Amino acid sequence: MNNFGVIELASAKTTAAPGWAYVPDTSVNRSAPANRKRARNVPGLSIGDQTVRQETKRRKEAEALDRDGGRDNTIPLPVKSGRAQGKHTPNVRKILQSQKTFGNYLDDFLALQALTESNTAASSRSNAAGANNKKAAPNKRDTPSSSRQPAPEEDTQMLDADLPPLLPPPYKILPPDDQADSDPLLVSRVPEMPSDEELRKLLARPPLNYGEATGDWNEKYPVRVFCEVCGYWGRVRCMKCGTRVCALDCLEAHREECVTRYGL
Amino acid sequence: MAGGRKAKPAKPKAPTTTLVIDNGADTLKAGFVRGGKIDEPRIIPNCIARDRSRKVYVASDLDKCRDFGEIQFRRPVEKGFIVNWEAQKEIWDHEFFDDNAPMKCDPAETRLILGEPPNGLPMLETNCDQIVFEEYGFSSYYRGIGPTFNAYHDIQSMFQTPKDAPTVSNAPSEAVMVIDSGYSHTTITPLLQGRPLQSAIRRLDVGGKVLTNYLTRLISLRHFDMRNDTYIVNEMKELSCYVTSDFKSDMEKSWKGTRGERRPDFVSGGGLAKDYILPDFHARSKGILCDYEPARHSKARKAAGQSEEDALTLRNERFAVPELIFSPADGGIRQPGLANLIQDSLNELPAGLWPSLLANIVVVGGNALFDGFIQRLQKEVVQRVPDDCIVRVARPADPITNTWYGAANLANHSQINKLAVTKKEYEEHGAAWVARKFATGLGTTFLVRFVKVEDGIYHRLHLALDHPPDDLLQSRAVVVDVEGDKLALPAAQKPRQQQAPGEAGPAAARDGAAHEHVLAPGEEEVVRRRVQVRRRVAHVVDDQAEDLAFLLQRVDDAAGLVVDDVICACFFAERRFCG
Ligand SMILES: [Zn+2]
Ligand SMILES: [Zn+2]
Repeated sequence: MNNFGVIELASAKTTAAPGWAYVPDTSVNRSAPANRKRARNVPGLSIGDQTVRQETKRRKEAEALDRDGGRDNTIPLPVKSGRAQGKHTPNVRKILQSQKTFGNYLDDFLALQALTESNTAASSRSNAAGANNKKAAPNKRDTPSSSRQPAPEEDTQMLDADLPPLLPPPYKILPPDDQADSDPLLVSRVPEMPSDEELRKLLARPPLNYGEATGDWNEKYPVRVFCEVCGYWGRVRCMKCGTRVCALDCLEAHREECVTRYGL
Repeated sequence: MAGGRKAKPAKPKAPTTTLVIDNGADTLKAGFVRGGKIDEPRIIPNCIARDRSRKVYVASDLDKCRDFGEIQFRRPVEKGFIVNWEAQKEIWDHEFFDDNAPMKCDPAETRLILGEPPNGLPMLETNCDQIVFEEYGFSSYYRGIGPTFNAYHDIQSMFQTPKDAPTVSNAPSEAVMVIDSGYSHTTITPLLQGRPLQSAIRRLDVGGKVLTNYLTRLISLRHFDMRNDTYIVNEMKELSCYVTSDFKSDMEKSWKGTRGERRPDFVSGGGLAKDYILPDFHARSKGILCDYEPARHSKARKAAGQSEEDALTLRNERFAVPELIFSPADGGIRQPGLANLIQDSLNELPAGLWPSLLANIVVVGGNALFDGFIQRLQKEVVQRVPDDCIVRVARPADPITNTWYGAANLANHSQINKLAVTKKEYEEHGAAWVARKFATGLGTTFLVRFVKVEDGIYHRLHLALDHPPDDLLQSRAVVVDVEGDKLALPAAQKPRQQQAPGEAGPAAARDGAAHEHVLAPGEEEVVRRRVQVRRRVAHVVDDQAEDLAFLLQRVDDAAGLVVDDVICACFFAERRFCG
């Protein structure tokens, strides 16, 4: 049933457009080095250029998805009558006048963080008297605590806890009861609930900052490629620009745009 | 009403009215809790909108809008956080504070509970706190992480688990993993007894906004340009999209096939293709979703002008759009999908917590309404965790207001008195103090430091930021400030009885003298004491003036402790003789 790609190439008329070729593309992700030699014989972009171009396109599209659709921050606020205005505190006035975006605030935060980190060595030398310096304190308080490591425990030794339990006994995980108990295959291998000590430490962990809370992209996550025309699997690559399409119909639809954009 | 309230002779310590706001980027959910009774929340568009005839609508006025074609929005909330206070104040005033506001209230007699996403920027938090107290003057206020409010529900009742699942019934509802998938993003917040496990909170920057933009892109490429009609596309998305349980199979079902060999499913629609009849804002103010009908699209009919309606056929768009939550890379977003991110969050926690968290996954937020969402999530999580773990995923009856109702339940819970800050406290201690207190939350924020006093003798010092337990006895540590003056030393105390809510512990601990203990070698004893020191820099030393200085994670100095950062420092100085 999957008669796209190579098979279709063989049966379809492909001579009409000079400089075009259909190449079955089985690589999941990036251009396969094996294609490079053939690619050189084809006018248009090299595979390397195509990859760069595709990556730029991907990034631009991802950014576009993040935009607030239909946003217009120039919409004026309705003029209110009868509302007492202008009696704001200086703090409030400053906040209300600010037209900063989230991106601006994030940049400010990152700049402050960088500054604080560069000052950390010096300030950690200071003693108790330094903590009296109220001017210096607020900056540091805005620092994400997670950028700071917990106290090194070089002079410590772990001891058992005598604190009241965080989770009272009934909350301990119980193994599956009755029939399951006797079956060795079903014996619970569920790990023990962490100790109270451990739970308390976990709950005491400081919040991550905004950027730290996102997941890390891992190259091992599969990247699926779709036909840019119809959204089906993109198993064929346009040799001119690297765009993926599913098969002949969509390639022809793409070609119109491709020619307008990159010429013949 | 207002007159009656003023006539009360003595004002109660905590206001009896709480305004609860879950301030989302797309809609804000707001309502009152009065004297223990929870009103139904209103869902209010959190925007100022302008239609194509340039008429401006503020928040709930949008109800009156009849033509959403090319409508534009100004939104105070960006990425889930209140960024533009000029616009937010306009909306709040319009809904809560103007003379003719639909939910008029007097902040001076009201407590505000405000939900926000986790991992915010300190500057934005400060702005928010300053507006709440300095502009509105709420008498009491708590700003908390929205997802945590979901713990204030009977979680177990959300799961329709058959009774013959014995392990499940033992799973602690005290542990909950809240997935909040809203307009701005999707967050993962593991909770232990309602408290967030901060280091394991994760955020995926895919929410309703991204999905709508993605659908807009697909339609604009495949049908016609709808980039100025985000509002209409959003409605289309809500009505037509679903989360597939089998992406590959649905992909095959919706493909046209090769040239000359159209697939039967494509021709008939295969039960998957749908026609969306666009609103024209004359006959139809809302779009309509119908089964795909080839005749509707026949060229002959269109040419004859018989087709009065603007219909577009949705095929793989229906499932490829919400798919971004599970596979963001499909849209070029280089972030792990939801199930991988849950795995990432779990990896931050000891494996012993996994079973209880996995058995209590609760999905809230508008995206939870997509058909198939919780089933798909369950399936994907199961594939990623040990076989022994039972994975249960629940969607509450109304995932959009669940966070709000949780916050409303919190308003009725005694814990709110520990969490909230009064206007007076704000004025006394300032914005940084308030931010710290909110960050501490219910505060089992124990900072532990072991200090070697002499060979074989260690002190373990626990510093609890706020909210010491009620069973403190006495202590032998002495707290000395930088000038060498002894600060407030607590009296020897009996184990305390249950405290009345609202009556915070610190007040009880001011007077008295240090209580001395002598420990014989080999003896083991926990000695505890409570001190309250404000606005002083203290050195913590033991009774032999041995410095118990410790590093704090959030406080500034290695040698001392800036005690005005906490309401009440509570020390557990535990002395042990080893060997
Ligand atoms: Zn295609
Ligand atoms: Zn091309």
